Amino acid sequence: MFMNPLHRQRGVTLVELMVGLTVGLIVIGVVGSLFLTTMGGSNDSLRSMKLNQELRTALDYMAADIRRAGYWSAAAAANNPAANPYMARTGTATDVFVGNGCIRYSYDRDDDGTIPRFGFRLQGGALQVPQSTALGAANGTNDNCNEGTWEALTDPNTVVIDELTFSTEGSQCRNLNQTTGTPPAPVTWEAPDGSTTPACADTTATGYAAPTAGDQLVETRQITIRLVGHHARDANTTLAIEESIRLPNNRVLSAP
Amino acid sequence: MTGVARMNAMPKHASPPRRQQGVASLLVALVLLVATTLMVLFTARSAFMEQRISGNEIRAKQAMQAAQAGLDYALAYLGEPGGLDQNGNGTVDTVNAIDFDSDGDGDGTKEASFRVLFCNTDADIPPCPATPADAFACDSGALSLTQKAARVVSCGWSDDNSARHVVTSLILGVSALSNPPTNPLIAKGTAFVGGSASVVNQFNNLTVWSGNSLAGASGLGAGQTFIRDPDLPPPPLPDLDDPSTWDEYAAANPLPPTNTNWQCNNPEAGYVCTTNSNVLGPDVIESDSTLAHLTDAQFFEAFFGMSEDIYRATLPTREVTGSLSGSAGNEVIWVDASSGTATLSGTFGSRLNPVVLIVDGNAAMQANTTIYGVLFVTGDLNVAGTPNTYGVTVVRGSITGSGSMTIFYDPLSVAGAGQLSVPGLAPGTWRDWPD
Repeated sequence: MFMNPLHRQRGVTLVELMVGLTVGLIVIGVVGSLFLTTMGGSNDSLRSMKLNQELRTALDYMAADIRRAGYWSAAAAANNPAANPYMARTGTATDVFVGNGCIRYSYDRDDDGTIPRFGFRLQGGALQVPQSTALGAANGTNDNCNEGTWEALTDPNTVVIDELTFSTEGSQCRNLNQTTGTPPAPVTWEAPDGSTTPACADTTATGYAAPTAGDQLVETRQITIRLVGHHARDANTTLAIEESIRLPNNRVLSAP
Repeated sequence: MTGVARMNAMPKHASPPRRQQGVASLLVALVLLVATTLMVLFTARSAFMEQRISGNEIRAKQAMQAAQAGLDYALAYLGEPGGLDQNGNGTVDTVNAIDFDSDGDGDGTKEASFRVLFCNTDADIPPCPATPADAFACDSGALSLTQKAARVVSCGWSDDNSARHVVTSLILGVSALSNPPTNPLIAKGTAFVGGSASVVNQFNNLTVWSGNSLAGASGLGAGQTFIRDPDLPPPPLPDLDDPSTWDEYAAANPLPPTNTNWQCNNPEAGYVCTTNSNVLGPDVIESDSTLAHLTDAQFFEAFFGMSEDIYRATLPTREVTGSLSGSAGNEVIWVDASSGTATLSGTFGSRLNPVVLIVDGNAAMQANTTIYGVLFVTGDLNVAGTPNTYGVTVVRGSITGSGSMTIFYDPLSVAGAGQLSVPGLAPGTWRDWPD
């Protein structure tokens, strides 16, 4: 009669407890570590995907817009490509300007002859563009990335941009009034790696031959964009991407 | 024994608490496994989305590159003889969808495609249709064949037509001949040595323009010039601005007969002989010091508007070294004869498809040589047999040899040669957004 209550209250032996705990702990440990590994991996993938996506989108956006530099709605009517105000490099310069972590350029987006000055720059870990209300000619020269109001294109709380560089390397300048070699070919030189000078003004380029005043020069421009960034919550998830774009609107100028 | 019995009995009675402990770790493990599964699913879904985004990005680039390829194709298309009207039906062509296997694996699957329109320069840029097979036309009427500039609209599609991109640019022609002369023969040096060349001009009263004397055995050699009978009205000139009328013009105004019948004592009907070995007619300008004093470079620039080297670097559609036998026409041919004399034999072009033929050096013409258009020789022209030229012949050196060449002025051939041009993209006109 007393056996049952006594039996019910009785604990397990030490051996039983040890075996049970060990087995349980092993099971939980295996599953737990699986969980943690998966979570870590998943986090890494999600972060790198986010980073990849943000940087690629930013790069594509920049490339597509910079490619339009130099378009002029009145180019056909004027019939003088050297007069293109969207590629001028004197006075309030509007030609592609490549500076320290920034670029400025212009094109006739609205076919209305006004000269909007577009651009991209890096500040505070974010890619920035000039506000649409601050694009006008009143905004001064084109070779300045510090004036006007700029707004962020990327969110530094998600992705931090560490480096943004532009280069004119690969741009070529052809002098249509001077030829060289047999059969004759126009004198041509190319902006070297890492150059930020427009090809026609790059006196350090291999093959540079000083043009005579009035020579017609054609600049085929190429801009290389390099973008490096990391995920805001993980400094080890970094990505560097680079793209070279050839600007279809060649710059034609008369040598000064 | 009792201890053993109790021990033996124990498992039976102790099973409930042990089962509870197992359930706890089972539950924890299950929860963790479910959470892991959910996490993996979420990551997989994100990866799938990422893949789709990359796919879209690649397709957008495919479309963009296809459109750009269309522009390059249009440039090459216009550079071919025939220009805007390659099928010769009298209207401006359009380029139908061209698919290409851009990854170069040669399996014939379409990676992208493009279509090209040639529109008026002031045309609005039409948006691309959904697929390359849909209707796609210029929105401000068809381009006329006489236009020297065209707005090229090129649409590119990705492999599955889900992405499309429009690109447009103006294409302009650089003319191969800036100042076409209006008389049959111009020579900076001596024309007419030996032989019995005939120079015929039905249209105006200037046949030979020479910077030196017309030297020969009797002062003038055996050369003869013929102009239209002054009693007859001048023939009409072709309408330079409307090449579509040139067919009709050619039919109504046939070329004069070739050399065999040109005799001063019995000229062709409608012509008079003004110069022979005894008489120098008023239609011949000889020893013109203006012409003689031009430098070689100035002489070239006077006709072509640019220096020799630059012309050679930019304009010829074909460059050959040495001799050349014939051409189908509609070409700007640069013959490099710097290492000897280039022999020209056969027929070059036709009246409606003339050539601009520039021989850099000395040239030799043979009995069967016939040239329509403009012949420019930077050295001497040696003539053998009875060749013919229709259009304009310009020689910077002298004409030598003993052949009997006949040189006709034909404004139609010259006009056609003046139409020859090299297309180029006009800077500042490229855009990739529709109006």
